[in-house]
Amino acid sequence: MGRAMRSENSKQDIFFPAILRDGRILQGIAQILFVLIVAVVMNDLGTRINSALESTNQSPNFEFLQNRAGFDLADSGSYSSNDRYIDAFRVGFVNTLRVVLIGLLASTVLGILVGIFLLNRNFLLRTLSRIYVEILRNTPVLLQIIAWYFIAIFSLPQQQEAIAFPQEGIRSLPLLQYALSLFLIVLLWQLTGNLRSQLWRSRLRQLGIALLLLVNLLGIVVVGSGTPIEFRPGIYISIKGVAIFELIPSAHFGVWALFVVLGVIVALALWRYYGYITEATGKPAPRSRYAAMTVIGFTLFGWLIVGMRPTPPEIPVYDDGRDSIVEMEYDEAFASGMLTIEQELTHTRQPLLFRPPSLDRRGRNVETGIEISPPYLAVFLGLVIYTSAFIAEIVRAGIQAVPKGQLEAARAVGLSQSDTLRLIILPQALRVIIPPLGNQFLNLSKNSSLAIAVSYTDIYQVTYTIINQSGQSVTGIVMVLLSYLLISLCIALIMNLVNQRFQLVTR
Amino acid sequence: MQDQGNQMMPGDEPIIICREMNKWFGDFHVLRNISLEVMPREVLVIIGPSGSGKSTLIRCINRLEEHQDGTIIVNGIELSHDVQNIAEIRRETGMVFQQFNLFPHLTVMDNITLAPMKVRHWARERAEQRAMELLERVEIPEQAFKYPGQLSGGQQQRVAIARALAMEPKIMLFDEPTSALDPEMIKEVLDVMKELAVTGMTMLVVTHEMGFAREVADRIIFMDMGYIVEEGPPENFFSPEIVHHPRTQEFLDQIL
Repeated sequence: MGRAMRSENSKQDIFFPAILRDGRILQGIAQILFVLIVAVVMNDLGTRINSALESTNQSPNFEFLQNRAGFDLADSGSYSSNDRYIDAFRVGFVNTLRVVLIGLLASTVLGILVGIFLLNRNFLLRTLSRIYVEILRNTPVLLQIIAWYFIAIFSLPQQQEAIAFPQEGIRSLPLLQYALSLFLIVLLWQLTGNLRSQLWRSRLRQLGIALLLLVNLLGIVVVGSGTPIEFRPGIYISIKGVAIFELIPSAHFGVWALFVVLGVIVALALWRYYGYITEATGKPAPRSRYAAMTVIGFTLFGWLIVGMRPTPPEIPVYDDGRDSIVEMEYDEAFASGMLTIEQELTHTRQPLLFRPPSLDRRGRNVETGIEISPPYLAVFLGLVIYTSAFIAEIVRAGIQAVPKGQLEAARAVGLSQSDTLRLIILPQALRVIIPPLGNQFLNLSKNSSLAIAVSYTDIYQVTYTIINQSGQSVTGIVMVLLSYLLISLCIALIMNLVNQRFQLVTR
Repeated sequence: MQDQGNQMMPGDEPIIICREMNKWFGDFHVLRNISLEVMPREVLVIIGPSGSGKSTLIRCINRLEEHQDGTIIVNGIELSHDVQNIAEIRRETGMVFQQFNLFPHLTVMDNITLAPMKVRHWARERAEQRAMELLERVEIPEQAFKYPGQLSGGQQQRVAIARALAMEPKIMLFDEPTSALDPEMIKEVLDVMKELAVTGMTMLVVTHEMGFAREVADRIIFMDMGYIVEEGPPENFFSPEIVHHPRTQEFLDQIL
């Protein structure tokens, strides 16, 4: 029987020689055919598009990018309609990055928080976060962005009645003095915490607090009696968006920055030193707290020392009322508001100068400060809140994916709750969380193109305008595609690197 | 019954005391009126059909499960909702699980040194020295810097025993330590446990290894439906002349 079958097969060899029955060869042929078909179709498509574009005088090129744009853009910084197309394109690219980068950060933080709430023992918290997730991930993100836009437009007051924070009229408090006092109390508690004698500990603490109170009272009565400074609002919220104060480095910024850098260096050294001590002796040390206190201490004392410079000499200022230049003490001139920004920056005793957002009562754009427009807010909130719902589910699943036995083993050897979470659960949960988290990051960056729905000037919206004006549709679309590709590849690259760090070693 | 625990010293207090202990999983009554005393250096083997509550019993002793009624006193400390008491008891009891439960993201060395450093506040040098001693005791010092995923089941369970011993516990709880192992790996784990019993460790062992029970146990407990049905020294337990409770006899007939 077997023999007969084989001879029948060999008869067919005339039509299908052995070489054509080799699976590897067949696969090779199939692949070559596939590539050929794709190439032919693409080529045909390319020629058709090209000839169509040529007939309407729209052949793809990059020269038009140097032409004058001629349109205005919101959220565009120093860009004006006299700039070139390429400048407009750059504005769009930067605006997309503004949404994507800050959005990634915010949605991750929010998502992790909600994800942990989803597993919380508290029924109310767990249920509310579940409702949050279910509503947000089951409605289209486009609608959510538009909803945020309308919420912003309809709920916020006109610019003339902007919500101000803090309210106008509040006098300046000796904030630095309070911050320093608080810091010294915490420091005192830390330092006396190691004392064996209960009596001495409480005595030292009482003495320290008494001294601080005395100094503070003296400060308010004697020093604080100088010119009260009006505390102008730092944040305005209106239909025009959110305007936030700016901090401008003054002439003494460098000295203060030196203190901060020094503080960070000392803190890092302390961190490492106590890490080493813990390894060598086993004695635990709250080294994160020490490091944080060092940085805060250097920052505050640096500010104090910079502020203790001798009073600046009399400054010539232009007096509106008398229409002439007069000499004035800095504090007096500052209080009267007659200083130019340059004068403030050189003569102030603060390392950072607080520039409140100046509200133009005619309803025009804000002059100083950082401005966040309603479209940006809508896109940002829409994307962040939508994505956070997915990230929350990923975080919850990741934590639940750690086998229960791991928790039991950690408890059985006596690890504390926080050590168990930090050293056992989290490293294993991250392994599961990171790949799908990367997907959500990519989703957020690509979903940012929905900004066009609320006219936020992102890369797609700007390019759309450029295409309409110049007719260079192919070039424009390719540029947008490449921009998104660039952003996505960067995110993917970073997430892959992070992912490699958390893989388990087996075999 | 009186000759139990031949290594027992006169005047010793029981290290584990359970009185009238009850536990429910929802409506299911898993542990019923469990009263039990374990002396220091005693090896207690708990046998019984699955679902009889033997694992739950030893998991109650280090509070992996919460008992709802009765008292448990371990090493003189009463188990209650007091978290400090729970932490103290967990420091003094080591546990070995059926599924090993090694930390897969840490090396063997880090698995063993983690708790002594974090909980007992040992210096790394001391913890690592102790870990190497223990790895030599369980005969796998050469695996110290591998990850659990790179070891065989038997090796993993021996690391798990070393990890529990690194905390220098007074009591060791074994929850079916050989049930997930290939037959040829069972022996290497049982050998380590035998050696541990000889050195005078207080051990509570849930197992189906009757050979081990016969050879090493000072006392055997048979559990069924959440009750302790019968207890006695292994000589009595496996002797054909002794008349057993019918349920015990049924179980013994099936496995022997």
